[in-house]
Amino acid sequence: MRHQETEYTDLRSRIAEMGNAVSRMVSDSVRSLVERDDEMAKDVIGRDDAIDRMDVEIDEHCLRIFALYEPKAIDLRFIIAATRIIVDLERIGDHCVDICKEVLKLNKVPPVKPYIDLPRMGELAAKMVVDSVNSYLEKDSNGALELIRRDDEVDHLNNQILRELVTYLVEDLRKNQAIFSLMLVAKGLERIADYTTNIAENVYFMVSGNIIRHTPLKETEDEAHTDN
Amino acid sequence: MSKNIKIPAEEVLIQVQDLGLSYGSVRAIKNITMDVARNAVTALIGPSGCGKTTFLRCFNRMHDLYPGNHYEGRIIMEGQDLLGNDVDLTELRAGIGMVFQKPTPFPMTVFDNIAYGLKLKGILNRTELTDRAEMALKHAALWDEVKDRLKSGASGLSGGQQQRLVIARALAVEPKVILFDEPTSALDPISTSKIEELIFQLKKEVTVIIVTHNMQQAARISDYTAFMYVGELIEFNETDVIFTNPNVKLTEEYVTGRFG
Repeated sequence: MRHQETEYTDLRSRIAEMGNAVSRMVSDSVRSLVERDDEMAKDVIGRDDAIDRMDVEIDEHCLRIFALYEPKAIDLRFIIAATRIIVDLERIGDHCVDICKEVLKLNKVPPVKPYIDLPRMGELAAKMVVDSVNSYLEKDSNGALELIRRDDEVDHLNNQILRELVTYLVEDLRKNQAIFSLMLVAKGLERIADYTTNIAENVYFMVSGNIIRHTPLKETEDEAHTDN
Repeated sequence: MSKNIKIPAEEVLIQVQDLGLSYGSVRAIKNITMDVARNAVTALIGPSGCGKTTFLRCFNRMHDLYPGNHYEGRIIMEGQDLLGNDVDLTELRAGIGMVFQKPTPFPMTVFDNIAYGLKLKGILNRTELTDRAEMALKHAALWDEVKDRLKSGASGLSGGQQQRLVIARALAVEPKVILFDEPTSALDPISTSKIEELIFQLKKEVTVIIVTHNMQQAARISDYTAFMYVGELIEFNETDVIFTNPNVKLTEEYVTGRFG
Protein backbone atom coordinates (compact mmCIF):
# COMPACT_ATOMS: atom_id res chain seq x y z
CA MET A 1 0.00 0.00 0.00
CA ARG A 2 2.82 2.38 0.83
CA HIS A 3 4.14 1.73 -2.65
CA GLN A 4 0.81 2.68 -4.19
CA GLU A 5 0.74 5.91 -2.17
CA THR A 6 4.19 6.73 -3.53
CA GLU A 7 2.85 6.34 -7.07
CA TYR A 8 0.03 8.79 -6.33
CA THR A 9 2.36 11.30 -4.68
CA ASP A 10 4.68 11.03 -7.64
CA LEU A 11 1.79 11.61 -10.04
CA ARG A 12 0.69 14.67 -8.07
CA SER A 13 4.11 16.25 -8.23
CA ARG A 14 4.43 15.54 -11.95
CA ILE A 15 1.09 17.25 -12.61
CA ALA A 16 2.12 20.17 -10.39
CA GLU A 17 5.34 20.45 -12.38
CA MET A 18 3.52 20.36 -15.71
CA GLY A 19 0.96 22.92 -14.47
CA ASN A 20 3.72 25.30 -13.36
CA ALA A 21 5.58 24.97 -16.63
CA VAL A 22 2.44 25.59 -18.68
CA SER A 23 1.30 28.59 -16.64
CA ARG A 24 4.78 30.13 -17.03
CA MET A 25 4.45 29.63 -20.78
CA VAL A 26 1.16 31.55 -20.73
CA SER A 27 2.52 34.51 -18.78
CA ASP A 28 5.78 34.56 -20.77
CA SER A 29 3.82 34.54 -24.06
CA VAL A 30 2.01 37.69 -22.99
CA ARG A 31 5.24 39.24 -21.70
CA SER A 32 6.92 38.58 -25.03
CA LEU A 33 4.07 40.46 -26.68
CA VAL A 34 4.02 43.43 -24.33
CA GLU A 35 7.80 43.76 -24.13
CA ARG A 36 8.24 42.94 -27.85
CA ASP A 37 10.78 40.32 -26.83
CA ASP A 38 11.61 37.93 -29.69
CA GLU A 39 13.99 35.89 -27.56
CA MET A 40 11.35 35.18 -24.99
CA ALA A 41 8.81 34.23 -27.66
CA LYS A 42 11.29 31.77 -29.18
CA ASP A 43 12.10 30.43 -25.75
CA VAL A 44 8.40 29.72 -25.08
CA ILE A 45 8.09 27.95 -28.44
CA GLY A 46 11.12 25.85 -27.51
CA ARG A 47 9.61 24.83 -24.19
CA ASP A 48 6.69 23.05 -25.83
CA ASP A 49 8.73 19.90 -26.43
CA ALA A 50 9.23 19.51 -22.69
CA ILE A 51 5.45 19.82 -22.17
CA ASP A 52 4.81 17.16 -24.80
CA ARG A 53 7.27 14.88 -23.04
CA MET A 54 5.56 15.43 -19.68
CA ASP A 55 2.20 14.67 -21.31
CA VAL A 56 3.46 11.31 -22.57
CA GLU A 57 5.29 10.44 -19.35
CA ILE A 58 2.31 11.22 -17.12
CA ASP A 59 0.00 9.32 -19.46
CA GLU A 60 2.29 6.28 -19.21
CA HIS A 61 2.46 6.68 -15.47
CA CYS A 62 -1.36 6.65 -15.26
CA LEU A 63 -1.52 3.57 -17.48
CA ARG A 64 0.89 1.80 -15.19
CA ILE A 65 -1.19 2.70 -12.13
CA PHE A 66 -4.32 1.35 -13.86
CA ALA A 67 -2.59 -1.88 -14.77
CA LEU A 68 -0.83 -2.53 -11.49
CA TYR A 69 -3.18 -1.19 -8.84
CA GLU A 70 -6.66 -1.23 -10.42
CA PRO A 71 -7.64 1.95 -8.58
CA LYS A 72 -11.14 2.33 -7.17
CA ALA A 73 -13.45 5.16 -6.05
CA ILE A 74 -11.59 8.43 -5.36
CA ASP A 75 -8.31 6.91 -6.56
CA LEU A 76 -9.93 5.88 -9.82
CA ARG A 77 -11.39 9.34 -10.36
CA PHE A 78 -8.06 10.94 -9.40
CA ILE A 79 -6.22 9.00 -12.10
CA ILE A 80 -8.95 9.46 -14.72
CA ALA A 81 -8.91 13.21 -14.00
CA ALA A 82 -5.11 13.21 -14.37
CA THR A 83 -5.27 11.60 -17.81
CA ARG A 84 -7.73 14.27 -18.94
CA ILE A 85 -6.05 17.24 -17.31
CA ILE A 86 -2.72 16.59 -19.01
CA VAL A 87 -4.47 16.68 -22.39
CA ASP A 88 -5.83 20.13 -21.55
CA LEU A 89 -2.47 21.34 -20.25
CA GLU A 90 -0.75 20.09 -23.38
CA ARG A 91 -3.26 21.94 -25.55
CA ILE A 92 -2.68 25.12 -23.53
CA GLY A 93 1.02 24.73 -24.30
CA ASP A 94 0.19 24.49 -28.03
CA HIS A 95 -1.84 27.69 -27.81
CA CYS A 96 1.15 29.44 -26.21
CA VAL A 97 3.25 28.36 -29.18
CA ASP A 98 0.65 29.76 -31.58
CA ILE A 99 0.51 33.03 -29.64
CA CYS A 100 4.30 33.35 -29.69
CA LYS A 101 4.41 32.75 -33.46
CA GLU A 102 2.03 35.69 -33.84
CA VAL A 103 4.18 37.72 -31.45
CA LEU A 104 7.22 37.13 -33.67
CA LYS A 105 5.25 38.55 -36.60
CA LEU A 106 3.95 41.47 -34.54
CA ASN A 107 7.44 42.38 -33.34
CA LYS A 108 8.50 43.01 -36.93
CA VAL A 109 6.01 45.87 -37.37
CA PRO A 110 5.29 49.01 -35.33
CA PRO A 111 2.76 48.45 -32.52
CA VAL A 112 -0.85 48.96 -33.61
CA LYS A 113 -2.01 50.18 -30.22
CA PRO A 114 -1.03 50.24 -26.58
CA TYR A 115 -1.81 46.93 -24.93
CA ILE A 116 -4.12 47.31 -21.94
CA ASP A 117 -6.73 44.55 -22.02
CA LEU A 118 -4.53 41.86 -23.60
CA PRO A 119 -2.04 41.76 -20.71
CA ARG A 120 -4.96 41.70 -18.29
CA MET A 121 -6.47 38.83 -20.17
CA GLY A 122 -3.13 37.04 -20.21
CA GLU A 123 -2.72 37.53 -16.49
CA LEU A 124 -6.20 36.14 -15.82
CA ALA A 125 -5.62 33.14 -18.07
CA ALA A 126 -2.23 32.32 -16.48
CA LYS A 127 -3.76 32.59 -13.01
CA MET A 128 -6.60 30.31 -14.09
CA VAL A 129 -4.07 27.68 -15.20
CA VAL A 130 -2.35 27.81 -11.80
CA ASP A 131 -5.64 27.75 -9.89
CA SER A 132 -7.11 24.90 -11.93
CA VAL A 133 -4.08 22.71 -11.26
CA ASN A 134 -4.13 23.69 -7.59
CA SER A 135 -7.80 22.77 -7.31
CA TYR A 136 -6.85 19.34 -8.67
CA LEU A 137 -3.98 18.90 -6.26
CA GLU A 138 -6.10 20.06 -3.32
CA LYS A 139 -9.24 18.20 -4.46
CA ASP A 140 -11.10 21.51 -4.13
CA SER A 141 -14.48 21.33 -5.90
CA ASN A 142 -15.57 24.80 -4.74
CA GLY A 143 -12.39 26.28 -6.16
CA ALA A 144 -13.16 24.45 -9.41
CA LEU A 145 -16.66 25.95 -9.64
CA GLU A 146 -15.27 29.41 -8.85
CA LEU A 147 -12.86 28.98 -11.74
CA ILE A 148 -15.62 28.12 -14.19
CA ARG A 149 -17.33 31.38 -13.19
CA ARG A 150 -14.16 33.34 -13.91
CA ASP A 151 -14.18 32.23 -17.53
CA ASP A 152 -16.94 34.78 -18.24
CA GLU A 153 -14.56 37.61 -17.44
CA VAL A 154 -12.04 36.35 -19.98
CA ASP A 155 -14.76 35.92 -22.61
CA HIS A 156 -15.90 39.47 -21.92
CA LEU A 157 -12.38 40.85 -22.36
CA ASN A 158 -11.95 38.87 -25.57
CA ASN A 159 -15.14 40.37 -27.04
CA GLN A 160 -14.06 43.83 -26.01
CA ILE A 161 -10.63 43.40 -27.58
CA LEU A 162 -12.11 42.04 -30.81
CA ARG A 163 -14.51 44.99 -31.09
CA GLU A 164 -11.68 47.41 -30.52
CA LEU A 165 -9.46 45.69 -33.08
CA VAL A 166 -12.21 45.82 -35.68
CA THR A 167 -12.39 49.57 -35.13
CA TYR A 168 -8.64 49.85 -35.71
CA LEU A 169 -8.95 47.74 -38.82
CA VAL A 170 -11.66 49.95 -40.28
CA GLU A 171 -9.55 53.01 -39.56
CA ASP A 172 -6.45 51.70 -41.27
CA LEU A 173 -6.65 48.65 -43.51
CA ARG A 174 -2.88 48.64 -44.03
CA LYS A 175 -2.48 47.34 -40.49
CA ASN A 176 -4.60 44.27 -41.23
CA GLN A 177 -1.81 41.69 -40.74
CA ALA A 178 -0.91 42.98 -37.29
CA ILE A 179 -4.55 43.28 -36.30
CA PHE A 180 -5.28 39.70 -37.37
CA SER A 181 -2.30 38.56 -35.33
CA LEU A 182 -3.62 40.38 -32.28
CA MET A 183 -7.04 38.83 -32.83
CA LEU A 184 -5.39 35.40 -32.87
CA VAL A 185 -3.50 36.20 -29.68
CA ALA A 186 -6.75 37.21 -27.94
CA LYS A 187 -8.51 34.13 -29.25
CA GLY A 188 -5.65 31.95 -28.03
CA LEU A 189 -5.89 33.38 -24.53
CA GLU A 190 -9.63 32.90 -24.55
CA ARG A 191 -9.16 29.24 -25.53
CA ILE A 192 -6.58 28.79 -22.79
CA ALA A 193 -9.14 29.97 -20.23
CA ASP A 194 -11.65 27.52 -21.73
CA TYR A 195 -9.19 24.66 -21.22
CA THR A 196 -8.82 25.60 -17.57
CA THR A 197 -12.60 25.27 -17.20
CA ASN A 198 -12.28 21.74 -18.66
CA ILE A 199 -9.71 21.05 -15.96
CA ALA A 200 -12.08 22.49 -13.34
CA GLU A 201 -14.90 20.24 -14.57
CA ASN A 202 -12.61 17.24 -14.19
CA VAL A 203 -11.67 18.35 -10.69
CA TYR A 204 -15.36 18.60 -9.82
CA PHE A 205 -15.88 15.11 -11.21
CA MET A 206 -12.93 13.78 -9.24
CA VAL A 207 -14.24 15.16 -5.95
CA SER A 208 -17.97 14.53 -6.35
CA GLY A 209 -18.21 11.75 -8.92
CA ASN A 210 -20.59 13.94 -10.97
CA ILE A 211 -19.92 14.69 -14.62
CA ILE A 212 -20.80 18.36 -15.20
CA ARG A 213 -19.33 18.89 -18.66
CA HIS A 214 -22.77 19.42 -20.17
CA THR A 215 -24.61 20.80 -17.15
CA PRO A 216 -25.30 24.52 -16.75
CA LEU A 217 -23.13 26.00 -13.99
CA LYS A 218 -26.15 27.26 -12.05
CA GLU A 219 -27.57 23.76 -11.81
CA THR A 220 -24.27 22.34 -10.53
CA GLU A 221 -23.97 25.15 -7.98
CA ASP A 222 -27.50 24.48 -6.70
CA GLU A 223 -26.75 20.76 -6.39
CA ALA A 224 -23.43 21.39 -4.64
CA HIS A 225 -25.28 23.70 -2.24
CA THR A 226 -27.91 21.01 -1.49
CA ASP A 227 -25.22 18.37 -0.89
CA ASN A 228 -23.46 20.62 1.60
CA MET B 1 -27.42 9.93 -0.03
CA SER B 2 -28.46 6.62 1.41
CA LYS B 3 -25.96 4.02 2.51
CA ASN B 4 -28.28 1.17 1.53
CA ILE B 5 -29.98 1.05 -1.81
CA LYS B 6 -33.67 0.20 -1.94
CA ILE B 7 -34.31 -2.46 -4.56
CA PRO B 8 -37.74 -2.17 -6.24
CA ALA B 9 -40.17 -4.61 -4.57
CA GLU B 10 -40.88 -6.55 -7.77
CA GLU B 11 -37.17 -7.36 -8.17
CA VAL B 12 -36.64 -8.59 -4.62
CA LEU B 13 -36.32 -12.34 -4.04
CA ILE B 14 -35.06 -12.36 -0.47
CA GLN B 15 -35.50 -9.85 2.32
CA VAL B 16 -32.98 -9.99 5.12
CA GLN B 17 -34.40 -8.30 8.20
CA ASP B 18 -32.34 -7.46 11.27
CA LEU B 19 -30.32 -10.62 10.86
CA GLY B 20 -27.88 -11.60 13.57
CA LEU B 21 -25.94 -14.74 14.38
CA SER B 22 -24.21 -15.65 17.63
CA TYR B 23 -21.80 -18.51 18.25
CA GLY B 24 -22.28 -19.01 21.98
CA SER B 25 -21.66 -15.56 23.40
CA VAL B 26 -19.97 -14.15 20.28
CA ARG B 27 -22.18 -12.11 17.96
CA ALA B 28 -20.59 -12.78 14.61
CA ILE B 29 -23.01 -10.67 12.60
CA LYS B 30 -25.63 -8.20 13.72
CA ASN B 31 -28.53 -6.08 12.50
CA ILE B 32 -28.18 -6.87 8.83
CA THR B 33 -31.08 -5.58 6.78
CA MET B 34 -30.91 -5.70 3.01
CA ASP B 35 -32.69 -7.16 0.01
CA VAL B 36 -31.36 -9.67 -2.48
CA ALA B 37 -32.47 -9.02 -6.04
CA ARG B 38 -33.86 -11.87 -8.14
CA ASN B 39 -31.75 -13.03 -11.11
CA ALA B 40 -28.91 -10.81 -10.11
CA VAL B 41 -25.48 -11.34 -8.57
CA THR B 42 -25.01 -9.89 -5.10
CA ALA B 43 -21.43 -9.78 -3.83
CA LEU B 44 -20.44 -9.69 -0.17
CA ILE B 45 -17.09 -8.03 0.42
CA GLY B 46 -15.11 -6.97 3.46
CA PRO B 47 -11.89 -7.73 5.32
CA SER B 48 -11.20 -11.17 6.78
CA GLY B 49 -13.35 -11.85 9.80
CA CYS B 50 -15.99 -9.27 8.87
CA GLY B 51 -18.73 -11.91 8.86
CA LYS B 52 -19.40 -12.22 5.15
CA THR B 53 -19.09 -16.01 5.04
CA THR B 54 -21.11 -16.25 8.26
CA PHE B 55 -23.79 -14.15 6.62
CA LEU B 56 -23.71 -16.27 3.45
CA ARG B 57 -24.14 -19.46 5.46
CA CYS B 58 -27.31 -18.13 7.09
CA PHE B 59 -29.19 -18.35 3.79
CA ASN B 60 -29.05 -22.15 3.69
CA ARG B 61 -28.80 -22.62 7.45
CA MET B 62 -25.31 -24.11 7.37
CA HIS B 63 -24.85 -22.91 10.93
CA ASP B 64 -27.46 -25.44 12.06
CA LEU B 65 -24.85 -28.15 11.51
CA TYR B 66 -23.03 -26.95 14.63
CA PRO B 67 -24.59 -26.69 18.06
CA GLY B 68 -24.73 -23.43 20.02
CA ASN B 69 -25.46 -21.13 17.10
CA HIS B 70 -28.33 -18.73 17.45
CA TYR B 71 -30.02 -16.68 14.74
CA GLU B 72 -31.84 -13.39 15.22
CA GLY B 73 -34.10 -11.62 12.76
CA ARG B 74 -35.56 -13.08 9.61
CA ILE B 75 -34.67 -14.08 6.07
CA ILE B 76 -37.85 -13.98 4.03
CA MET B 77 -37.94 -15.70 0.65
CA GLU B 78 -41.24 -15.82 -1.19
CA GLY B 79 -43.21 -15.25 1.98
CA GLN B 80 -41.41 -17.88 4.06
CA ASP B 81 -38.96 -17.18 6.87
CA LEU B 82 -35.96 -19.37 6.08
CA LEU B 83 -34.93 -19.23 9.73
CA GLY B 84 -38.25 -20.67 10.91
CA ASN B 85 -38.38 -23.92 12.91
CA ASP B 86 -40.68 -25.53 10.37
CA VAL B 87 -38.21 -25.29 7.48
CA ASP B 88 -37.09 -28.62 6.00
CA LEU B 89 -33.35 -28.11 5.80
CA THR B 90 -32.71 -30.70 3.10
CA GLU B 91 -35.28 -29.08 0.88
CA LEU B 92 -33.93 -25.63 1.75
CA ARG B 93 -30.38 -26.62 0.77
CA ALA B 94 -31.56 -28.07 -2.53
CA GLY B 95 -33.35 -24.80 -3.26
CA ILE B 96 -30.39 -22.72 -2.10
CA GLY B 97 -27.27 -24.52 -3.34
CA MET B 98 -23.76 -23.79 -2.22
CA VAL B 99 -20.35 -23.84 -3.85
CA PHE B 100 -17.25 -23.67 -1.67
CA GLN B 101 -13.73 -22.35 -2.02
CA LYS B 102 -12.22 -25.75 -2.77
CA PRO B 103 -14.06 -27.96 -5.26
CA THR B 104 -15.96 -30.67 -3.40
CA PRO B 105 -16.80 -33.37 -5.94
CA PHE B 106 -18.09 -36.64 -4.45
CA PRO B 107 -15.70 -39.60 -4.83
CA MET B 108 -17.70 -41.08 -7.69
CA THR B 109 -18.04 -40.67 -11.46
CA VAL B 110 -18.79 -37.36 -13.17
CA PHE B 111 -22.28 -38.58 -14.03
CA ASP B 112 -23.02 -39.89 -10.55
CA ASN B 113 -22.01 -36.59 -9.02
CA ILE B 114 -24.84 -34.93 -10.88
CA ALA B 115 -27.30 -37.81 -10.54
CA TYR B 116 -26.82 -37.98 -6.77
CA GLY B 117 -28.99 -35.00 -5.89
CA LEU B 118 -31.55 -35.92 -8.52
CA LYS B 119 -31.91 -39.43 -7.09
CA LEU B 120 -32.39 -37.91 -3.63
CA LYS B 121 -35.21 -35.91 -5.15
CA GLY B 122 -36.79 -39.17 -6.27
CA ILE B 123 -35.82 -39.06 -9.94
CA LEU B 124 -34.79 -42.61 -10.78
CA ASN B 125 -35.67 -42.91 -14.45
CA ARG B 126 -32.41 -43.45 -16.33
CA THR B 127 -33.34 -41.36 -19.37
CA GLU B 128 -34.47 -38.45 -17.27
CA LEU B 129 -31.33 -38.64 -15.17
CA THR B 130 -29.19 -38.63 -18.31
CA ASP B 131 -31.08 -35.70 -19.84
CA ARG B 132 -30.96 -33.63 -16.72
CA ALA B 133 -27.29 -34.36 -16.11
CA GLU B 134 -26.50 -33.28 -19.67
CA MET B 135 -28.49 -30.09 -19.23
CA ALA B 136 -26.81 -29.28 -15.92
CA LEU B 137 -23.35 -29.90 -17.38
CA LYS B 138 -24.18 -27.70 -20.36
CA HIS B 139 -25.39 -24.93 -18.07
CA ALA B 140 -22.17 -25.19 -16.12
CA ALA B 141 -20.20 -24.91 -19.40
CA LEU B 142 -18.57 -28.26 -18.73
CA TRP B 143 -20.40 -30.59 -21.14
CA ASP B 144 -17.98 -30.33 -24.05
CA GLU B 145 -15.05 -31.14 -21.78
CA VAL B 146 -16.55 -34.17 -20.01
CA LYS B 147 -19.13 -35.68 -22.38
CA ASP B 148 -16.72 -38.49 -23.28
CA ARG B 149 -15.74 -39.24 -19.70
CA LEU B 150 -19.01 -39.23 -17.80
CA LYS B 151 -18.14 -42.62 -16.38
CA SER B 152 -14.69 -41.60 -15.19
CA GLY B 153 -13.98 -40.52 -11.65
CA ALA B 154 -14.61 -36.85 -10.91
CA SER B 155 -11.29 -36.60 -9.09
CA GLY B 156 -9.53 -36.88 -12.46
CA LEU B 157 -10.86 -33.49 -13.56
CA SER B 158 -8.81 -30.31 -13.18
CA GLY B 159 -9.57 -27.94 -10.30
CA GLY B 160 -11.53 -25.59 -12.52
CA GLN B 161 -13.49 -28.48 -14.06
CA GLN B 162 -14.23 -29.89 -10.62
CA GLN B 163 -15.55 -26.52 -9.53
CA ARG B 164 -17.81 -26.38 -12.58
CA LEU B 165 -18.92 -29.95 -11.85
CA VAL B 166 -19.92 -28.86 -8.37
CA ILE B 167 -21.85 -25.95 -9.88
CA ALA B 168 -23.53 -28.38 -12.32
CA ARG B 169 -24.44 -30.62 -9.38
CA ALA B 170 -26.07 -27.67 -7.62
CA LEU B 171 -27.85 -26.60 -10.82
CA ALA B 172 -29.22 -30.09 -11.52
CA VAL B 173 -31.73 -29.86 -8.71
CA GLU B 174 -32.97 -26.53 -10.09
CA PRO B 175 -32.23 -24.23 -7.17
CA LYS B 176 -33.58 -20.70 -6.89
CA VAL B 177 -30.38 -19.42 -5.35
CA ILE B 178 -26.74 -20.47 -5.45
CA LEU B 179 -24.35 -19.29 -2.75
CA PHE B 180 -20.70 -19.05 -3.75
CA ASP B 181 -18.09 -18.88 -1.02
CA GLU B 182 -14.90 -17.67 -2.71
CA PRO B 183 -15.39 -20.07 -5.61
CA THR B 184 -12.23 -19.12 -7.48
CA SER B 185 -9.66 -18.53 -4.78
CA ALA B 186 -8.12 -21.97 -5.35
CA LEU B 187 -8.13 -21.67 -9.15
CA ASP B 188 -5.73 -20.38 -11.78
CA PRO B 189 -6.63 -17.24 -13.78
CA ILE B 190 -8.05 -19.15 -16.78
CA SER B 191 -10.31 -21.36 -14.68
CA THR B 192 -11.25 -18.26 -12.69
CA SER B 193 -12.39 -16.41 -15.76
CA LYS B 194 -14.44 -19.44 -16.88
CA ILE B 195 -16.19 -19.57 -13.50
CA GLU B 196 -16.76 -15.82 -13.56
CA GLU B 197 -18.26 -16.02 -17.03
CA LEU B 198 -20.42 -18.89 -15.85
CA ILE B 199 -21.70 -16.99 -12.82
CA PHE B 200 -22.47 -14.05 -15.07
CA GLN B 201 -24.51 -16.33 -17.36
CA LEU B 202 -26.17 -18.20 -14.48
CA LYS B 203 -28.06 -15.21 -13.22
CA LYS B 204 -30.52 -15.61 -16.07
CA GLU B 205 -31.76 -18.70 -14.25
CA VAL B 206 -30.78 -18.36 -10.61
CA THR B 207 -30.09 -15.70 -8.06
CA VAL B 208 -26.46 -15.60 -6.99
CA ILE B 209 -24.88 -14.45 -3.74
CA ILE B 210 -21.10 -14.56 -3.73
CA VAL B 211 -18.46 -13.96 -1.10
CA THR B 212 -15.17 -12.89 -2.59
CA HIS B 213 -11.86 -11.50 -1.40
CA ASN B 214 -11.09 -10.46 -4.92
CA MET B 215 -12.56 -7.00 -5.29
CA GLN B 216 -11.98 -6.92 -9.02
CA GLN B 217 -14.07 -10.07 -9.24
CA ALA B 218 -16.90 -8.49 -7.28
CA ALA B 219 -16.66 -5.43 -9.51
CA ARG B 220 -16.72 -7.52 -12.68
CA ILE B 221 -19.51 -9.97 -12.03
CA SER B 222 -21.91 -8.54 -9.47
CA ASP B 223 -24.87 -6.22 -9.84
CA TYR B 224 -25.06 -5.32 -6.18
CA THR B 225 -22.35 -5.25 -3.55
CA ALA B 226 -22.63 -5.33 0.22
CA PHE B 227 -19.62 -4.13 2.19
CA MET B 228 -19.36 -5.59 5.69
CA TYR B 229 -17.13 -4.72 8.59
CA VAL B 230 -16.95 -6.34 12.04
CA GLY B 231 -20.22 -8.15 11.59
CA GLU B 232 -22.20 -5.19 10.34
CA LEU B 233 -23.42 -4.13 6.96
CA ILE B 234 -21.73 -0.82 6.23
CA GLU B 235 -22.97 -0.10 2.74
CA PHE B 236 -25.15 -1.93 0.25
CA ASN B 237 -25.41 -0.44 -3.18
CA GLU B 238 -25.16 -1.01 -6.90
CA THR B 239 -21.73 -2.42 -7.64
CA ASP B 240 -20.87 0.49 -9.92
CA VAL B 241 -21.50 2.93 -7.09
CA ILE B 242 -19.46 0.94 -4.57
CA PHE B 243 -16.41 0.88 -6.82
CA THR B 244 -16.61 4.31 -8.40
CA ASN B 245 -18.21 6.60 -5.85
CA PRO B 246 -19.26 4.92 -2.59
CA ASN B 247 -21.38 6.84 -0.12
CA VAL B 248 -19.67 5.75 3.08
CA LYS B 249 -16.12 6.79 3.96
CA LEU B 250 -15.29 3.34 5.36
CA THR B 251 -16.33 1.69 2.07
CA GLU B 252 -14.11 4.08 0.18
CA GLU B 253 -11.17 3.33 2.44
CA TYR B 254 -11.70 -0.39 1.90
CA VAL B 255 -12.08 -0.36 -1.88
CA THR B 256 -9.12 1.97 -2.31
CA GLY B 257 -7.02 -0.25 -0.06
CA ARG B 258 -6.48 2.39 2.65
CA PHE B 259 -7.89 0.27 5.37
CA GLY B 260 -6.84 0.02 8.98
